[in-house]
Amino acid sequence: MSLLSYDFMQRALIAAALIGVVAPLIGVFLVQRRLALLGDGMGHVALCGVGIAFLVGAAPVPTALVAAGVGAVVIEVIRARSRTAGDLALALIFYGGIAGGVLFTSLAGGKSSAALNQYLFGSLSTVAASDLVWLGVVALVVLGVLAIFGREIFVMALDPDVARTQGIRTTGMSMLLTVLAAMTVVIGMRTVGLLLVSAIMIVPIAAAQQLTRGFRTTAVVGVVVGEISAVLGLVVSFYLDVPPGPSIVFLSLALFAVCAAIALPLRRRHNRLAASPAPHSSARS
Amino acid sequence: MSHDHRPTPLPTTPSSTQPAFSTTRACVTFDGECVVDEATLSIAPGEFVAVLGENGAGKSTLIRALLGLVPLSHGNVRIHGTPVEGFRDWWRIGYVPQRLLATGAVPMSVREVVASARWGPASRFRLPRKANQESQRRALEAVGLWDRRDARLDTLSGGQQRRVLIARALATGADTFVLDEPTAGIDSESQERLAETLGALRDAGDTVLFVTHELGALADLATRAIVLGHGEHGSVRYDGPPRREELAHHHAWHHSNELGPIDPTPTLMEG
Repeated sequence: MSLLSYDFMQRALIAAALIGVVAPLIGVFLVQRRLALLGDGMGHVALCGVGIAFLVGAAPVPTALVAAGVGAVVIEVIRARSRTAGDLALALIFYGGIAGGVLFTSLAGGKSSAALNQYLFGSLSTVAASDLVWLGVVALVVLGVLAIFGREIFVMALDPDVARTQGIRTTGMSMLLTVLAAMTVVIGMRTVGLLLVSAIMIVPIAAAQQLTRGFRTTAVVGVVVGEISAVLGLVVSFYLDVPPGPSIVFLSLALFAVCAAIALPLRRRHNRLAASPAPHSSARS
Repeated sequence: MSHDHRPTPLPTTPSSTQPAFSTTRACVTFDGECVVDEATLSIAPGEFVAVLGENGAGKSTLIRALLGLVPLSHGNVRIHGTPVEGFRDWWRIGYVPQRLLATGAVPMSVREVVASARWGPASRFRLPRKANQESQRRALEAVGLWDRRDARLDTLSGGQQRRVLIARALATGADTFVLDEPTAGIDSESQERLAETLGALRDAGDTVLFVTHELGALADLATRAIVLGHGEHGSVRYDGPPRREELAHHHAWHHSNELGPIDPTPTLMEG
C-alpha cells in the first residue's frame, strides 16, 4: 500500500490502532454506568489543556493529560457528594473546558488557531514520534489498570451496594473509571479529535450490543468494530483528504447500522419464541 | 441441596465464636426522621432469622445498616466481632439486595452476574479458578436457572432475575447470608426450592438473616423472628422464637398485599 510509505501515515495508523482497542474497552463500562456522554465532557476539558499548552509553549499531549485527569477527579469528587450538584457541575466544567480551550488558543496567537482544528477533529499529519510514545504508554497504563480493576468496576456498575458487600471501594472505582476515560480521550485526540473521541468509545459498544448476550462478548465485538472503524476511517480520510475524526466516526455509525439491521430480524424471532410457550417452563430442569 | 457449593472448607477464624452481627443502640436517620431507632441485637452464628414488620418499619434499612451500607447516626454495628467500618472479611458475606440489578445498558449474561460474586480486592490479581465455576454451576442449579446461564439477564422475568441474585449470593462461598425480600415476585414452586436451599445452609451451620413479607415455606424455617416497628422503646418490637401468638400480637403480616402470592393463613409459627 502506497500510504504506508509515508512516515506520518504509519504513525497515524499506530495511533488509530491504539484508540480503536482502548476506547471501546472503556466505553463498555461507561455505557453500563449510563455515562455515555462523560467522554464528551472529558474531551472538552482536555481541549482546555491543549489551549494552555499553546499558551505556555508546553507539549500538548501531556498537558491535555493533566487537564483531563484533574477534571476527572473534580467531577468525581462533586458527584460523590450530590447527584444533582454533580450533573450541574459536570455541565459547568465542560463549558469551561471548551471555552478555555478556544480562549487560550486564540490568546496564544500565531498558527495556534489552525492547529486547534487538528485537535478538534483529528489530523493525519501531526502525530509526532514523541506523541506516539506518550500514546503508547498511556494506552498500556489504561489496559493494565483495566486488567486489574475491570472486574471490580463491573460489579460496581452492576450494583454499588452489592459491590460494597464484596469489599469493593465503590467511590474509588468510580473515580478510577472517570480518570481512565480522561486518559482514553487523550489517546484519541490526535487521530479522532477531542470533539468526536467520545464516539469511538460509545458507538462500537452500541453496535456490538445489537448482536451480543454477554458483557465480555460486547466488549470484544466492540473492540473489533472500534478497530475497523479507526484504521479504515483513517485510510478513507487519507484518500478523501478529509480530517480523520469524522470519517472514523461515520464508519463506526455505518457499522452500527449494519449490526442493528442484522439484529432486527433475530430479535423479532426471539420475541416470537419467547412469547409462545409459558415463560417459566424453560427455567425448570 | 447439600451444602457443597462451597469449594473449600472455611478456615476457623478466632472470631467464629463472636456474633455474626451485633448492634448496640443503632439508629439510622434519614432527613431528620428516625428510620431505625435504638436497635440492640445480637445474631449468633448459625441462626436463621426472619426480620418482619410493616412497610416503613425499617427492615431494609436495618439490614443495610448491618452491612455498613447506610451510616448510623448513633450506636454501632459489628460483623463477626469487627466494627463494620473496619470489617475486611467480606468473602464471608452473601447479600441479596431488594432492588434488582441495573440491566439493559450493556448486555450481560446470567453466568457473568453469578461469576461476579467472587470479584473483589482479594481476587484482584488472581485468575479465575475452576472451583469457582463449579460453585457457580451449583448455585444456578439451586435456583433452577442453570439452563438459562447464557441468557441475557434483561430477558428474564423479575422473579427469575431475583433468583439470579440469590444464586449470586450462594456462589460467593460465604458463611453469612443477608437476603432482603428474597421471595418477592417468585412463584411458589421456586419459593419452596429456595427454602430447601437456605435450609441446607442452615443445616451446614451458616448464618441466614432475611427480610420477608410473606409467611411461606421460607419463614417456616426461621429459628428466630425479629419484628420491627416504631415503638417507644425503639425499633425492635419483638425478638424471639417465631411463635404464632407473639407475632399475631405484633401485626407482623397484615399489610403486605403487593408482593406476590401470600398464604392467607399464617403458617410461620408452631408454638
